[in-house]
Amino acid sequence: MSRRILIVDDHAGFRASARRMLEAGGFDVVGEADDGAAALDAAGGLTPDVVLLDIQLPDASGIDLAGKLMADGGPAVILTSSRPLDQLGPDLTSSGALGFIPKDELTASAIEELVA
Amino acid sequence: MSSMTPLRRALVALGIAGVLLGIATFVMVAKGEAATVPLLEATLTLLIGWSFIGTGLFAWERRPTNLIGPLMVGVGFAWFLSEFKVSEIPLAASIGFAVNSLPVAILIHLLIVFPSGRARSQLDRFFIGYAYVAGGLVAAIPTFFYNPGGDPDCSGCVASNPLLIHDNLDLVHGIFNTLSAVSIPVLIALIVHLVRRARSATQEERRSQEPVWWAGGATIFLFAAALLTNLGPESGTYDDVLWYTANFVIAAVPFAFLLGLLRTRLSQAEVVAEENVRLDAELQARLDDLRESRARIVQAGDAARRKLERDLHDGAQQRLVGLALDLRLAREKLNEDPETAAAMLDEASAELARATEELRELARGIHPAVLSDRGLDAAVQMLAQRAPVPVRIDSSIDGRLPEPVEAAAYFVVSEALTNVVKHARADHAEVGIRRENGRLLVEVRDDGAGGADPSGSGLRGLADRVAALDGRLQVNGQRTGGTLVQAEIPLRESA
Repeated sequence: MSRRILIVDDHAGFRASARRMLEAGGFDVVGEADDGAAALDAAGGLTPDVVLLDIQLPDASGIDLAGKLMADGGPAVILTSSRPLDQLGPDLTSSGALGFIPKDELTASAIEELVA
Repeated sequence: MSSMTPLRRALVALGIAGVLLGIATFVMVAKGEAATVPLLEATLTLLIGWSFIGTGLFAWERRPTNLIGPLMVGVGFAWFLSEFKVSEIPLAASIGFAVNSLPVAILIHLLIVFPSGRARSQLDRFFIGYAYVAGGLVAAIPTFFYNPGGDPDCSGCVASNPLLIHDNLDLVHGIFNTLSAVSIPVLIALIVHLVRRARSATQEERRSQEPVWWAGGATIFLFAAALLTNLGPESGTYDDVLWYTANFVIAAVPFAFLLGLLRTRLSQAEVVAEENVRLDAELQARLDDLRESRARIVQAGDAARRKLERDLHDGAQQRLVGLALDLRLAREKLNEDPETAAAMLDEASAELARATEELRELARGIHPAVLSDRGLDAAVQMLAQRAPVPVRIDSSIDGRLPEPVEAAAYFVVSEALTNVVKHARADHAEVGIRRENGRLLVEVRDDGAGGADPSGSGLRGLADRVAALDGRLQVNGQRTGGTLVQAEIPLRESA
């Protein structure tokens, strides 16, 4: 059974590319969300196994959002960003997320490695 | 009266006291038998006392922190009190006798500290101290040893002295003679001191102080001369003539002071000072403007960099990131599904073209290459070509202008045309650029809805940019509708 994944990013272009990439890699992309509020809604309704979460959303910080998404046996969260790590601040690890994948290095196998 | 300041009330009270004391003194002197010509002497006394008090109060009110006013008033009161010496009331006469030299002492203080009200040197303080010790204290001592009844020279004197402690006429004469003998060289030294100061005064100081130096110097000189005749053999006529002359001259001092004061008021120095105050205020306002505009320029720079980062991040960078994923995917599909891979590569090419165009657009916003390469005229023509409404350009610039001027003028036109398109719903716009009197005039006019807000961030930023070059930006709604943006930028080469 393929893993269910939710893509949270405010750039439609990236969501589309990521969806193609992950579907090609065997993921079941159950939904997309373009901000924090929509992400919480979708995570509740769609019950994904994994959330690919952009760190800079229009209404929230992915670092803060990760904890909320994962609470009460929620999905695993993987952070992503098109900014390099040194631009993202020191507290990525405190977010509780499984890990961080730079957007341009995103592959289905990179996510599998983190989730496994 | 309730609206009067405490100072004003005190001055009015002092004025009333001065008037009353003057009248009392006048009556006393006029009725007294000590004077040779009672009415003349009484009038002279009144003239001196009132003129000192009057001009003193005037000066006090105008310059409350300056000691000159109080000193003038002090001379006037002391003068009246000293004239009590001719009174027929024994206690009044004794008091008058005791303070007889006090007005001269205060006058000397006044002359030394005019016009600032402050002693300027140790020598100043010595003369002032001497005047009060000799004229105020030592000269009062004989009062307690003088019995008018026992003085054969005293005709018309009061019969008794209530302040008498011990009758000793020799001691009285001894003190007066010693005081005169010591005071004459001191007074001469003071005259020399004042003359030297007057000579070193600036032309402006001299203008205001000269009348006082002359009247005051003459007074001191005459009193010194009068003291001198005291030492010589008795010759009543000389004594009287000298004292009367001295009295007339001393009466001139407060008017000399007033003249000096008026001259100071009307002098160039004061006009310049007032002008300076005005210019200071203007300068301060301009500095405040500059400080604010500098802060806004820094903020605008920060905001522009933030926007640039955001634009790069949200625009070209996202496209390139997506492209990276799509290319990787296409590479994976190349063998198993070449058709899908080809479609993805087509899509990637289009995406790449969009990213490139976005980067170009962004670069143009940062700084237009055509402006640096080919100058203002070419850059403005490009702006006109890219504008979605027809733009007529009327430019009489040939050759290049200083770089900051070109950039400011370009951004004025660019921002104004952007506003025309965004807000004005105009059919067409006109751009005028010309040199005039060493300035570059830039005008952008449209036939749209008008109502541009000069304090909006775009126009505000432009105004700051133009102001940084000492220029001005004006945004006017026009009577015929539409908006007129005008910039004037000085064409200094150093700019």
